[in-house]
Amino acid sequence: MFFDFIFYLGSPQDWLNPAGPVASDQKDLFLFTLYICLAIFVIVGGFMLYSIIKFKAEPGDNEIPEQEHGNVKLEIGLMVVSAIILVIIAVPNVKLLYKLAEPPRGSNPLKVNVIGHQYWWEFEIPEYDVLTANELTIPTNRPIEFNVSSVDVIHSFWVPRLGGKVDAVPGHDNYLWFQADEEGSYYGQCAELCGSSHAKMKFKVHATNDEDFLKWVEHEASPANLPTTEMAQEGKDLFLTKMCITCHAIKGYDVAVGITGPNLSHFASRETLAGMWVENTEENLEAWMQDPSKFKPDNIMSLQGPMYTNENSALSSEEIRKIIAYLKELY
Amino acid sequence: MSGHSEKLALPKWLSFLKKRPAQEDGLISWLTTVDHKRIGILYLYTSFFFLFVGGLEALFVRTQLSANDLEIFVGSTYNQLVTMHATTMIFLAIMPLAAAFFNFIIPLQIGARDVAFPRLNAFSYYMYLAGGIVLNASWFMGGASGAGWFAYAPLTSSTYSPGHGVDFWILGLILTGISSTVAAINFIVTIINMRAPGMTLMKMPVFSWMAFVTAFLLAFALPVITIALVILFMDRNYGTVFFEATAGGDPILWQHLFWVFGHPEVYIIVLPAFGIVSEIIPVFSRKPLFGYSLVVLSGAAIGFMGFTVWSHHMFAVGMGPIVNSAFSITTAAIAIPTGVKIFNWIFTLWNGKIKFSLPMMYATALVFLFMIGGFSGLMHGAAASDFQQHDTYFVVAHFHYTILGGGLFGFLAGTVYWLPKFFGKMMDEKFGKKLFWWIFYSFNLTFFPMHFLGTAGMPRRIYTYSSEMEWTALNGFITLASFVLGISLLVFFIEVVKAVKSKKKIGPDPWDARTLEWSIPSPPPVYNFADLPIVSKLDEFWESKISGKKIKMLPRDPHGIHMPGKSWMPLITSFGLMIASFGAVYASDLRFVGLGIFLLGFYGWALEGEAEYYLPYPKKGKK
Repeated sequence: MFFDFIFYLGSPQDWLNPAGPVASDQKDLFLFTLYICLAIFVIVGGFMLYSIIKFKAEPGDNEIPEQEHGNVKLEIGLMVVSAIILVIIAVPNVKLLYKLAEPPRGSNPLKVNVIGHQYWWEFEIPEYDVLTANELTIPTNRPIEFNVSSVDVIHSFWVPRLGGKVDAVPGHDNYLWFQADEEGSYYGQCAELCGSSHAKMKFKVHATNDEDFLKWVEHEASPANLPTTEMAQEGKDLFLTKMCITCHAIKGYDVAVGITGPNLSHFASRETLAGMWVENTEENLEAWMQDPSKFKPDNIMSLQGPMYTNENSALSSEEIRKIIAYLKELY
Repeated sequence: MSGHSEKLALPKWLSFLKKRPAQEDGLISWLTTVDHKRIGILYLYTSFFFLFVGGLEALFVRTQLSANDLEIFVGSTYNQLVTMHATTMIFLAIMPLAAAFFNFIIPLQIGARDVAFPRLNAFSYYMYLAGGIVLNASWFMGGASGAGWFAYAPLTSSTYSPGHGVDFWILGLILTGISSTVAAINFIVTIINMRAPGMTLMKMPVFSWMAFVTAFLLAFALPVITIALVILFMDRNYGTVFFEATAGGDPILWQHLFWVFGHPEVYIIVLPAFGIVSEIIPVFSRKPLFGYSLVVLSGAAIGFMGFTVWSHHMFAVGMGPIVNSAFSITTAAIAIPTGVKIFNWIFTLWNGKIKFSLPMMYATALVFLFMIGGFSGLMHGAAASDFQQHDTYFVVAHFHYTILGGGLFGFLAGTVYWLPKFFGKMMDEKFGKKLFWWIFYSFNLTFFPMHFLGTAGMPRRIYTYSSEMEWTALNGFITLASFVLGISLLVFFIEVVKAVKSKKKIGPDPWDARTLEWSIPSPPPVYNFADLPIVSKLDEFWESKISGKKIKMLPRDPHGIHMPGKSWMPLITSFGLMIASFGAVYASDLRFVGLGIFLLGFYGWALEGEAEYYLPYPKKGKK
C-alpha cells in the first residue's frame, strides 16, 4: 500500500510486513485507523493553517474584529460527525477483537505452553512431549494456540510478523493464537520491562511444513545423545559435579532435572545463544560460560550459579572446554 | 480574634512562637514566604531545575541507544535512567510547572489577594521539593528504582528489586502526592470561595476553570496511587502479599490501581496546558474564545471521562474481548470533547486579527502537536491492532507528543505569555522566534521517527539492539535530534533567566490581554489588587478597555489591606516528613526523629501567634 514505504525499515520484527492472518488483520485495522486519522488531520490541520495565514494581522492594523462568541449548531454538528467517525472505527475493532479471541472453527490448533523466565522463554508442546527454550518450531497453515504464563515477573510474548502480544503474568494463564502462512524464521521479543536483561529476551519461531515439523518434534522428544569422546564424557561428569544439573535438565541424564534454566537436551541444534544475541558457536559458548553477565546482565546463572559466585567452584578454562565438548554433542 | 488567642495562653518556653517571621527581603523572607506569587516563582525555578535533570537522563538514554550493541549505560543502570527520566519529568518537572502557573496566576485571574490557605500553599511547595530530594537521593544511596515509572508488580518486589531504589521511589512519590493533594484542595477552596464579587463560575477565565477541573482530578486520582504505594511498601518491607501471585495476591491489581491514577494523570498534565492555550489564542486573535461554555464543559467532560479509560493501558494483560471492547469505546469517546476544544480554538482564530507573538507561536504549535498525539492515541484505542503497537516506540512517540507536545509546549507558551506578569520583564522576541523553530523542528525530528521504530517492532525500554534489526540508522538520527532539542530547551531557560535579569521593564498589559491579571502592575504588588474588582462579564478587563469604562471596585477597608503572615512551619513540617522518609527507607530510628520534627512543626503551626497585618493603601490613581 501507499504508506508502506514510509514505515518499512526492513526489520525482521516489522509488523507491517505480516506473515500470517492475525498480523495481517491487525495491519489492516492499523492502516484503516491511520488513514481516517490522517484524513481528519489534513482537513482540521489544513483548516487551522488556512485560518492562521488568512487572518494574520498586518503590522499596525489595530482594528478590533467582530466579537463572535460561539455557534451552538455548528458545535453540535461537529460533535455528531466526530461520534460517527468513532463508530466507524469501533466496528471493525470490536469485530477483530472477537476474531482474535479464538481460532477459526473447524481448524485443528496446536497447543503450546509458553512460560516466561528472567530472561528466556520456555516452550512446551504437551501433545508431543516437547520441552525446549528460545527456539520454537511450528507447522505452517495451522493455528497455534498459546497458553502464556510466567514464573517470576511479567513478560510479554510477541512475534511481530505473526501477531500482536500478550503478557506473561505470574499466576495467570493468558491466551493467544496465530498462524504462519509461509515457511521461515520469525523473530520474537519480550515486550514488557522485566529487569536488567529485558533487551536480551529474544526468541525465534521457525515455521516449517508438516513433515519437517514432525521430524523436529520427534527429535526434540527423544533422549539426549550420550557422549562419544573422552572429553565429552568428562564434560558430562563436570555437569554433575559442578552442579549444572540443579538448574538444567537433560533428557536421559537422570540426575539432570533442574527447571530454573533452559532444558539443554538438544542444545547443539539451537542456532543462537544468549537470547538470540550471538550464534551458537564454540567460541561464543566459551565466552558465555566465562562470564554470562557480559551477555545478559543480572541473569540468574551469573547471580546464583556457584561457579560464578563461589571462587572455589569457579570453572577453569579446561573445564569449560570439556563442558562445551559435551554440550556440542547434545544435538 | 485577638481575644481568642489571649485565652489560649502559651507556656513561657513556647512564647517564642508568638512572634512570626517578618523579613521582607533576603533568604529568610523566601524560606518563610506565604505569598502565592513567590511560591509560584519557587515552583517555576525548581521545576526548571528538574526539567534539566530529567532532560540529562533522557540524553543519557539516547546516547546508549544511538547505535547498536553499545555498552555505555547497560542493564540495570539503563533501567534506572529510564525510570527516573519518566518519574522526574512527570512528577518533578511537568506537574509542578502547572503548579507554578496555578499559584501565580489563579489568584490574579479571579481577583483575589492570595489563596485560601497561604501556609498550606507553602507546605505544598516544600513537600514537592522534599519528594524531589528523596527520589533523587536514591542515585547516591545505592541506586535508583529500575522498575519503570509504572513499576509493574512483581518486578518491584524485594525479590526482583533488592536494594532501596524502589523504597526511595515509593516514599518520594508519596511526598509529592501529599504536595499535590494539599495543593488541589487549596485551589478548589480558593476558586470556590475567593472569586471577585460578580465572577460567577461561568464568568471565570478558562485557565482558572481548567485548574479547577485539574484540582478535582488530583484530589480523586492521587489517593488511589498513594494507597497503592503504601501497600507496595508493605509488600516490600512488612511481608504482606497484595501483589504476590505465589501467595494468593495478584500483580494485576497493581496495574489497575496504578492506571486508575495514571490515566487521569495525563489530563492532569494537559488540561492546564489547554487552559493556557485557551487564554493565549483569544488574546492574540483579539476575539473572545469561541464557544466559551463548551470549552469549559468539554474540559470537565475530559476530566470525568479520564476516569473511565484506564484499562486501555492494559489491553495486553489478557482481560478478554469484552473488557477490551468496552475500554476501546470509552477511550475513543474522549476524542469528542477533545475535538470540541480544537475546533473552538480554530474558530477563535477564524475572522480574527492574529498577531504572531511568541506565546501565540507556542500555543498554535501545541494544537498541531497535540493533534498528532491525539490521533495516535485514537489508534491505540483500537485494541485489536494495539496488540501490535503496545509497548513499542510507537507508544513512546505517542506520549511524547501528548506530554511534551501537549503539556510542555503549553507551559513554554505560558512562560513566555506570563513572564511579563511574573517579573515585569519580556523575553527577547526576535531571538525567541528563532529559538521557537529550533525547538519545534528538533522536537518533531526526535519524536516523529519513533513511530517508524515502533512499526518496525522496536520494544520500549530495551537498552540495546542488534544490527540485524535495522533500527540503527533511525536511532542515530533520533539521538542527534534529541541533543539539538535538549540544547534548544536549555537555551530557552537561559533566555528566561536573561530576561528576568534584564533592566528593561515592561508595562502592566503588554499583550493587550483580556483577563484581570493584566489590570494590575507588573510584577504585581504583594497584595495583588489594591482595590478588589467587581466583575460583571467574562473578560471584564477587555470589556472595560473597549468600552472605556473603568472596572468597578469594592470600597476600601478602613484598616488597610489585609495580609497573611509569614511562617517557618511549612518548611519545618515538610523537613520532618522528608527525614522520616529517609528513616523509613532504612527502617531506622530516623523515622521517629523525622516524625518528631513534623509534630513539632504541626503544633507550631496550630499555636503560632497571629501575624495577619494591614498594609496602607497606595494613593488612588497611582499604579
